[in-house]
Amino acid sequence: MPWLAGTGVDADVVMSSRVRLARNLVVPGRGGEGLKFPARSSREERAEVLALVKARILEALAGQVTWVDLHQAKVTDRHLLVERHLISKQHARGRAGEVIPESATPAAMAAALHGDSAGRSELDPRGVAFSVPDERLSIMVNEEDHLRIQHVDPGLSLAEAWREADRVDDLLEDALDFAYAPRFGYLTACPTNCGSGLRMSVMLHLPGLKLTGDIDKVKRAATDMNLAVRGFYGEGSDAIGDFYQLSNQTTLGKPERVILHELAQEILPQVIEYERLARRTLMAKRRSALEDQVFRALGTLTHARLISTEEAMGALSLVRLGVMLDLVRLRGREEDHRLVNHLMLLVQPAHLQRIAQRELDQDQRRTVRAEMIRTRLGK
Amino acid sequence: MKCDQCDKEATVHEVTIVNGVALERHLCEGCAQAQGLATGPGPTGTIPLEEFLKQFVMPAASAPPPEPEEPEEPAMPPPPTITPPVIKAGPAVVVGVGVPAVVIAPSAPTGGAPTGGGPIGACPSCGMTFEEFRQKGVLGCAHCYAAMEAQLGPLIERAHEGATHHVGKVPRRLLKGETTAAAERAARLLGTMKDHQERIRLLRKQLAEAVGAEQYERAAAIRDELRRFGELPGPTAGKN
Repeated sequence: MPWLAGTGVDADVVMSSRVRLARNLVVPGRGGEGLKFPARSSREERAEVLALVKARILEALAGQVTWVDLHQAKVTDRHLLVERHLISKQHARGRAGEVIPESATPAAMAAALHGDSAGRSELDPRGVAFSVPDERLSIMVNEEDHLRIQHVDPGLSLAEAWREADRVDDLLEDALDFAYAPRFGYLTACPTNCGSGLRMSVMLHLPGLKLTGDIDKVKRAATDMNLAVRGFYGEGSDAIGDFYQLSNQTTLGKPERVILHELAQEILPQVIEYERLARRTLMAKRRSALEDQVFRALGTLTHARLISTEEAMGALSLVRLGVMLDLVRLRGREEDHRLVNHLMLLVQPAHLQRIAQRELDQDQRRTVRAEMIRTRLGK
Repeated sequence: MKCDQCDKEATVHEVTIVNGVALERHLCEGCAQAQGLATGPGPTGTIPLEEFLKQFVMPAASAPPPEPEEPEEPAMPPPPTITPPVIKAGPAVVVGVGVPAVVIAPSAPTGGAPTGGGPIGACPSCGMTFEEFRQKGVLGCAHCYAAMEAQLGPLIERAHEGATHHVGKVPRRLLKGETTAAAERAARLLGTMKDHQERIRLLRKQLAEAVGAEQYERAAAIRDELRRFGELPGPTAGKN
């Protein structure tokens, strides 16, 4: 996973950079007639699109990607993919409001809503292809648009992520026909994405600004500059662990390289510097309070018997800050950085259960999580 | 936009492509009728988009398209080649090659939106209406953009800091291949001369603003984009 190692430009603040392109198909050879977007199409139509796109992706990217049919995957496996930032929560869930025929048996209805006894949901044909083993490239099929091509790289690396996403877009465009019109550019299900269909975002770690109380100011300033500010898992998620995703909102009317320039050269350097300034200020003027926070967090992690995801993420965020500022030293700076990043992934519910090799209810998870953290941090 | 002949508002727009040359005419209702141009059937003055599409999405070298329901069309010479027309993402424009296409739609974005079999404003391809879109937040298919352009336009402008036109990446397969099919597709997707010029105009404006604000790196990025645009094939409607 790109951001685990903690490498990359400005990695003290920027965990990762992501570029996403939204694309839809037209009916080949029919003069530009569009297929219905996923939400409007029937399940059969979506299944057809899925089969076609899957085949083309596997041809074009043979040997580089692995494919998952999400409608046939277990719930926990889907959540694993969300936690690794390979699919969105929406894509894991599938389409809400599926029309369930009246003739459906109670079992079918329950399966439709919650997945069957094996945790599988048979509904909503959709899938994802992602590159192995690096997991930098992922292509969602039948999410809000027919295709969403995404590339993630560590640190501040939007230019590289854009180059790769662009390359994959070109490759797939050779095999598929994308909906595009002169005025509105690439045509997307939501008009807020039309034009370039491009969303560039970075995952920022901003514990300094949180501690100085300036985080709301930054969020407001970002919104004023027409940027979206979202939480750890993107749209509709919370900012756990002091992680914030910053991305462009405007996709029409600017060339892609200008969107890149604005974000990477004009806006982000200022936000990064602002976070670094907050950290320097804390060290200079509130050092003992800062150390207290950091070491209490470490204490919780190394001694708690029960801990929720949220609490663990909050504590890990502070310890990560402590590592960055050389207040905390467990094994060595680089190793500590990697360890904390890795723990942020392993405390998530699906990963935790994968490590424990069994399904756990919420109470069990709090116990197992605490144990797992103690073991890995333990001296 | 004003009528070519008088000072009134133009409501009839005609683009004719004959042997690769585009001729545009913009006339008001009165002048159009004076010139014998049909101004379309129906109370809203529009011909359903789907009808036009049916006429033109056809195998090559078949008969010329059927007559529209209304007044006579001038006799047409046999088209040199039959190729799919340029279809702009707009309520108004459908262009026939070699056929003096009659394009009818009110340009004023009044409540009566363009076209559709079904309720006014419904997309002829998937049936979505603008009201439905407002409720759901997503469109039904690629054709919705053309079917609801009048209402979507202002909404899109607001969502994208006032932007009106895409100026970025164009699907790469347009840029290669000398086959007629590729050229036709390029024509269809790149739009008319007006689109091409509009794109260039917008980029130049952005460039001037960037230079004025002394944002030289940004200006360089825009200049690179302009250069790339100069390398794109112009629409079949003419050279750059």
